[in-house]
Amino acid sequence: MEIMDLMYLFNLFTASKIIDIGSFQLAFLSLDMDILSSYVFMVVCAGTMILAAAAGAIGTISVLKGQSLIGDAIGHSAYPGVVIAFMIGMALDPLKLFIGAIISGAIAFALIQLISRHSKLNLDATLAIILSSFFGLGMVLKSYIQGHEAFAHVSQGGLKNYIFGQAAYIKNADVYLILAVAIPSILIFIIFYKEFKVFIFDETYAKSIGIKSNFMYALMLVITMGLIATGLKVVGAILISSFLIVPAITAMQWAQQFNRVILIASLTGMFSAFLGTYISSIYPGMSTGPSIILVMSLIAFLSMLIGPRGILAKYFRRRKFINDKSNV
Amino acid sequence: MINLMFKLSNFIGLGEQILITMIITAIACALLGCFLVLRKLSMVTDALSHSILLGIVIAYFVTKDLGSPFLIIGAGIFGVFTVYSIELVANTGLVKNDDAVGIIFPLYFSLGVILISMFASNVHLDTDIVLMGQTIMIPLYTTEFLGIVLPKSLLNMSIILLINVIFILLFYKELKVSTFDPQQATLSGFKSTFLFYCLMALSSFTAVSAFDTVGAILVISLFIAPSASAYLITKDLKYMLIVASLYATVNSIIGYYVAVALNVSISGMVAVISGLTCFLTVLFYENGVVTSLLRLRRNRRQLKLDLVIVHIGNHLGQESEQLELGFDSIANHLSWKQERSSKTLKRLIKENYIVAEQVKKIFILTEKGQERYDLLKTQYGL
Repeated sequence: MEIMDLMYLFNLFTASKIIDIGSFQLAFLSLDMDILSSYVFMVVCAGTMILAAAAGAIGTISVLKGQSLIGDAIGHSAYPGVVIAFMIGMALDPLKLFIGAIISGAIAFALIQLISRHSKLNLDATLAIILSSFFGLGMVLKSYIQGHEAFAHVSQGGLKNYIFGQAAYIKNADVYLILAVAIPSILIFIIFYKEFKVFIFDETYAKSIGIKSNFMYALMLVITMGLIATGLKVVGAILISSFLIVPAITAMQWAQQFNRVILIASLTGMFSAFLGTYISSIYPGMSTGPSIILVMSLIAFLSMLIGPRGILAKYFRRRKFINDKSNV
Repeated sequence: MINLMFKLSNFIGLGEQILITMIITAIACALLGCFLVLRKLSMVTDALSHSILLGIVIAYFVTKDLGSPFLIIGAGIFGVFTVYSIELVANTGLVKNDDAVGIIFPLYFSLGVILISMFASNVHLDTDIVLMGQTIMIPLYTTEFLGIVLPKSLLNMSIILLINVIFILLFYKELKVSTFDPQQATLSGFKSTFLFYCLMALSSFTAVSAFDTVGAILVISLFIAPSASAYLITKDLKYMLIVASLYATVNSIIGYYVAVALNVSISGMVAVISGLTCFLTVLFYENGVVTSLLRLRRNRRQLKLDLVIVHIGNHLGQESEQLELGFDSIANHLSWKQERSSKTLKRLIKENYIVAEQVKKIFILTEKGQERYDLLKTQYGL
């Protein structure tokens, strides 16, 4: 009788050894200074933190505009571009892969617009279709490379990192790329801050005072896509959208003013990036993307629980109301 | 004894076994997908397919057995829990529905990835298997059912397909009403929420079973792409279900053979083909992008012809006809550029609406042209 595996994946478990949870917590509480002061960690940490700060700020726009899942679709859709850029360049040059990711993300976005505007399919269905077919294309191309002798001499192990992200492989060149994208993005955001604010909260008014909404959409898209494409190596194609969505959600639990929301989103993004990168540096098996997102999501849920308008606050307000009433 | 056993592999090649499993999986997903598309829940499948990974890992920790059917059940229940948590987060009113999806699934997926890499730290997590499944391994894991030896996934998916079909047949009316008119459903006295969770539970179990053969990403594609295409070209739920199944079958067949020919990932290719057929449908269905453009062009051309016909009809037999309809002067009176009017006139002559009268050197209407002129006059009340 053969072993009836549900999934081949779980063969991995049988060969695995279990990490002691206790020591994990211990290491977590007392930050390891050796790791903190190591050059590699500093490079990686700088990269993820800058990226998370920029993504957190820009992400507030798309969340407030109600387009958070478009980032998810574009993130997935950028992957085939990375593989094609690799096939053309035969190397893992961050800049070339970045350009590939941007192009394929842009094509995906154009298709999303085309389909959702000219057919009765709603945005949700369009996103699901584009996301799965583009990512499928990426996997097809990747399996093509693996089976092809022309690519046999080129190392392609790094391509996998673009799915889940692996900060351990971040090099100086990647950090420069992150800087080159994040700083202009934030600058553009600051320059057009007033326009963005009006555009987000009252598009009709924005139009009436001469702000072109097509231009604003394009601007928002270019920045978002740039950040997604740079983030692929750090966080991976699947989870990069969370960098945009989750800090914004956290921030909206605490503040109601736009500038404060942006600030809090950036800060929580940076903090999560730091902690996540640290955790994944201690345990090399843990991918950076998932670690950062775990921290980010926990902060978000905590905020929803204990924030000023959160679940607990609502509960206590209700109880107080009932008590007051019964006293009368 | 073994020789007496009926083995599927004796009759059908390994490749065909994969293909049949793919088709059955695709149909099982597409049937439920129709309701998800109509209820605007497409991105929930995205969340479902990602968070199932965590469900499978947790279920494995409890059962400690890879072959256990409880693994599927556990992961399926976790899928329902995912949907429940999305609803829960969205219902707090603190975030929008889209954001709730966007915050829940990355968390669960990250947890799944982390748990796997923590407890399998000396083996690198194989992303291909998580995302793209093990399509090629389908015929290798066989099981015996009613004396027939067949691939385990084929058996699993056939059972799931059967359950889905029975569910849809039994609750067809209820599903229809609660999908298109939730208020009416509530008034009629059955619980929409109950049906919603039934649908979600089935989607979850279908996704879990499909996950192991086709992977997380293709599951989304199988659920949504055929149903979305069918939604565009049908106007009746019954036909939509049938057309979606047809799309699912065709996508699987094309995807499988292209993938085999190019020696690439089968499930990836099926996802690409599904996206492609859906895109072609968007372009070419009744109100599609290309069809609408063609219709516009045809209308514009017809309008030009009609304008000239009306012009000629109005002036024919009047004193000014020599001036208005003359070979050289007509272009001025149409107020069109020479090139455009001569092109239109040529087409009119070719389509036998007008002829050039050589004696008076003017254009006159033929019998067909006169008919068209009269028709236009009555239509527009001239």
